[in-house]
Amino acid sequence: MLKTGFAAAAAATIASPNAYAAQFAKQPGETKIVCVMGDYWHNPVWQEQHVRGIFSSNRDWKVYFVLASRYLTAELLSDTDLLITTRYGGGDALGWTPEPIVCERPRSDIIWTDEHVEAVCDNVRNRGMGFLAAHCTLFCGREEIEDLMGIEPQLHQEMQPMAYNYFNQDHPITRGIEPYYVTLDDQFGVDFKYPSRTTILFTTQAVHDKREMVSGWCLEQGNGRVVGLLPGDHNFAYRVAEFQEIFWRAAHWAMKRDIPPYPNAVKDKKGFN
Amino acid sequence: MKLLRKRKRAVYKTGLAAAAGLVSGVSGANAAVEAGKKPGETKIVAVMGDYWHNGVAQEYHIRSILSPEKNWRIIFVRGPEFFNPALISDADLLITARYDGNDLMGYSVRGLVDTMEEGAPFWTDENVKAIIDNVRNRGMGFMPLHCTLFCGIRDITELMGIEPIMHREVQPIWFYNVNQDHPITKGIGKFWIGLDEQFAVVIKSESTTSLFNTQAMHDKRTAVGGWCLENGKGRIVGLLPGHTQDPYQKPEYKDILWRAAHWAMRKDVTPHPNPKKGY
Repeated sequence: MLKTGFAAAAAATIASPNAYAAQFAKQPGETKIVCVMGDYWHNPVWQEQHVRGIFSSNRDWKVYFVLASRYLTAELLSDTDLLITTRYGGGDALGWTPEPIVCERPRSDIIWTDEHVEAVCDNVRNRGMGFLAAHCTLFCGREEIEDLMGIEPQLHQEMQPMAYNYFNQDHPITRGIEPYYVTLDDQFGVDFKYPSRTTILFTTQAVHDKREMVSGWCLEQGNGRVVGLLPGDHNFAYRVAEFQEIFWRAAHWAMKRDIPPYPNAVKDKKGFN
Repeated sequence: MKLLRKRKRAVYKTGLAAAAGLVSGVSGANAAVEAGKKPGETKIVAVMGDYWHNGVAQEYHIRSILSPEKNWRIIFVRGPEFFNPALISDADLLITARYDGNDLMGYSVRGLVDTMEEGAPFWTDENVKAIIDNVRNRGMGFMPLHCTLFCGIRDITELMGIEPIMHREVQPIWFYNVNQDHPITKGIGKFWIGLDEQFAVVIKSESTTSLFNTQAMHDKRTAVGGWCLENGKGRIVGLLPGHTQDPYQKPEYKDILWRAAHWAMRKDVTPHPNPKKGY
């Protein structure tokens, strides 16, 4: 009986992601945020923990994490206010299974399929969904998404300490943020496709190789707003109160909301930053 | 039951959630029985991954490194509540990379979640007792990796034959003084990894064999990075690398892991057939 119940639960979650997503339709007064984060290189545990922590004071914000790419569907995004991604192109690192004790992993799902790309672009450009494209999303491998982000991607070099040395004092996402550093991160870079309508939010300098790069930017795309934030190979980036505040503000800005002061600033007390 | 209910992620009052909740609440023993060893099979149980250490990469590499052994079944436990004495009662090898405390992220049966609730602790009295009993009295192999030394359980560090010493910054690490007399490391030369933490240990047992040393390239600290010993009927191999994916991408470290698994289970130790660089 247990086995039957378990199999039924598993089957229901697997069989029809679109139908499954229908359970999570936005309720009145709710802000719906969908996150797709975590892979072989980027630990999904700390990503989910930090993003939920940053938004935790907003009680009417419902934050969904997609644990298998099949659940990122047009249905799920159709009423979403903000999509947050940190996923490069290709398969999920491990095939998803509902089993608590995993003897064998099933084939993994693919992200940034044609359906994903079409749904994301349509919801941002035509419906006005916010899009926070974080870290490795720039290497999604899909030109349509790069175009939505307004960039051409540049790969990082070695992991190294990172100095955040310029913050745009005229933009609400970064106004008042002062320079800081992070113990270790990789430094992606970008070239802008639409420099005249793209706003630089902050730049970083890689401490070892001295490369200076834009690491945060924003732009409007159709009815939607897009913010690109490149930090986040390690949890060190998210353990800094300044970045948490940038993330908080970026989410509000992308959804065209007023930006209240960030209430959750938590300084790292363990000495890792 | 109450404890488990509290730790489930995202329970909806739907039929689906009810079924899922039923499973995640009571099926630990059931799942353990289903994971029982088949005839001719080698059963390996692994508990790895947490806030600091990417369980995705760890599972990927352990499965990949051990994949040439086709009759080895590698069982990853996604929530400590599903680990119990029954699961390891017939296991040939236990691999852990877990420090103390609860899982930060509780187990979910669902592929789309809207809450994150704390999971269960792994190093419970019951689990500790079962691990020690299975190693010492039944001869189960034990490979405590990386942060396991900070499990916070004296009985486990005594089983490992060590006192733990904390790492410093994440930095490049040299592997040297690789033991050429032990089958786990014989023929493997010195190598380096781009970034890792360097935990260290004080070896407490005279019967412990050091497998290799590490030197942290920034702060120059040297330490034992791998060791092995027999404890009762069981064999234990401690390997401290593995904060990042970097060591798991090194052919030399893949070979060490492969051989260590064989040695801990008293199987013939031969070099890894295909320890390719990368992932």
